[in-house]
Amino acid sequence: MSLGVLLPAERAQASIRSSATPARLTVLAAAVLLLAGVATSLAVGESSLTLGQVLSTLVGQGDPFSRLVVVDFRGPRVGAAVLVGCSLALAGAVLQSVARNPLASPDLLGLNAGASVAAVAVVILAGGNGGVSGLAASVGLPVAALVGSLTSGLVLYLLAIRGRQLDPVRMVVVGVGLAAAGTALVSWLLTLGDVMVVGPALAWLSGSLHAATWPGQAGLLVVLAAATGPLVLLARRLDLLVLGDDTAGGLGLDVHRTRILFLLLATALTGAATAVAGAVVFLALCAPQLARGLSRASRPPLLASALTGGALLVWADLAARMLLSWTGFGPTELPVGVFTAVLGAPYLLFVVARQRAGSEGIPS
Amino acid sequence: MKVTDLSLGYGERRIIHHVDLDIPAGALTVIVGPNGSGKSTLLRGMARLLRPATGAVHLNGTDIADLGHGALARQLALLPQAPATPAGLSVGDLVARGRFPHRSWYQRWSERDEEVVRRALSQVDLIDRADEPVTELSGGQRQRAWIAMVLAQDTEHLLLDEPTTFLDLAHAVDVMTLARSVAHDSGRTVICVLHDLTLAARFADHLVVVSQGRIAAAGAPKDVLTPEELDDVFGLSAHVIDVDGAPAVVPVRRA
Repeated sequence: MSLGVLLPAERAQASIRSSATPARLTVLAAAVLLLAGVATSLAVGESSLTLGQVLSTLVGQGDPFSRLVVVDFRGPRVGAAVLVGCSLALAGAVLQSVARNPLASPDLLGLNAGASVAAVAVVILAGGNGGVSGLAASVGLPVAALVGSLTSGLVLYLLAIRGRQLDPVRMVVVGVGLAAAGTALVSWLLTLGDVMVVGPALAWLSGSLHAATWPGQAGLLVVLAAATGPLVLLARRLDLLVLGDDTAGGLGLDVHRTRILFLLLATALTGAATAVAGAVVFLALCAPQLARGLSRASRPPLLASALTGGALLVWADLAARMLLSWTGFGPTELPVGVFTAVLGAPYLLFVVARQRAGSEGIPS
Repeated sequence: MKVTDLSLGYGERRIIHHVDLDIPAGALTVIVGPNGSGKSTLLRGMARLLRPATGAVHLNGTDIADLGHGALARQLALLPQAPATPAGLSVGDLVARGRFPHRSWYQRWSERDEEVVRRALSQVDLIDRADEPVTELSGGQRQRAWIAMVLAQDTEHLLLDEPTTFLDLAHAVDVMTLARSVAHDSGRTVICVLHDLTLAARFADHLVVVSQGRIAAAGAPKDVLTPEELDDVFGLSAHVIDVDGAPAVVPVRRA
């Protein structure tokens, strides 16, 4: 039903079900914000372009200089921001529905940590002077991150599910434990590395789109495209999972298999996104809840979450890239992960505070 | 519905031992038993949320173990005890979830779906509150909204696990009146687990008493609920009197 928001025919007459208007408006607003962010990010930088130059380049008619800036310099970075933002937000939306917990997200559940451990291991153990390059960077890093997040997803599943029942609180507690273990492992790996290798590894760990390339994000594009199909087909099942295991089972859902499938999709999206951008924290937590609040839905809507995530990361990356130069601190830039963390931490506190105020325990 | 030699448990722990049970069609069957007797476990087994260790449950002659997930959900609906209500879910949307087993992934919301959901909401008297969030309703209304969801599932069999928990007596009576009328008016088979003996005695057509994972007694409430049985199974000293043609359980007051 997540795509139902785009099918007006479905609710031609006043239905007993709630109106899809807030959901449609959210999708529209997030899409506009995303496109505006992409256009602005492509235009703004060391050498500024006009919006007209950017648009004409995008339709294939720009001058060679604009094309160089848009396609070769800024394009990979903006493209990566969109793909990473969409993927992480989708993973978050799926996990929050499956875990019936608004605090569930790939970073809090330790999926990022798994990807980080594996990727840092590749950088430290296989990297030469100044980090990894060549085959290790283009294939080794993404594959390692994917394997790492799948491994922590598997451990999470084995530890969080007892007697085929999922306890939402237990899942988050296990996830926090996994994340802590991952952080410890990463620290240990960093002590093993050469100074020249540790620097780039640290930059990657704090979440940065600085080094994004077109070939580097091909893997993520493939994973995102592959995950979209099943997610669209199975979105309706998320509506049942948020009602609890027994209710969903009584309504004819194979809860166990459905949940494994969703966890697999979320884990793959996280791993692929982490391989491109490193540990971008909090985005997967905030974007789905923002989209859910605006859509007035009982769970994070998938399309709106993805667009919101993409828009947030594009704007956050623009701010991370330009903030210091705009405020006169010179041309240095912040890693976008630092920026999302600064914005996300107060949000997390806000969720916890609101949860305590509510009488219903954990709203999902 | 017919239960034969059914044993159930969680892992190594066996809770229900070789139970045989015939559930009358088109009537309200109430399952009672002391805390920890296994009555809810038995209901979960009847809904196939637990796989049997031995025995089987048959619906109209078919072993439910042989049915697909959708096929079972079109014949049997289950309302779990104290279900989770997500914030932001409207009453109408909750009841619409009951149509899930009737729709394939490619099927749009149909007029038939709409009609069944409207009928279910009218039946529980919430048709005017379809737009409101479920979390805003009072306890009794919320329970009725959930019952509307299983009614919208449009099944021949309806299983309710402690639907009166957390409700005051007036609302509990409302819910049981509704369960009884669903059975009698539309000829559905309703099976309800209750811990309240008085309610069970007043509303059940057929009463099943579970004790330590076995059936202690089954039959019409007036035959099953005797002072001896109450003392035996529940350790309760009570008089059983007849009011309006149905038994009422009145605890003995000790000086």
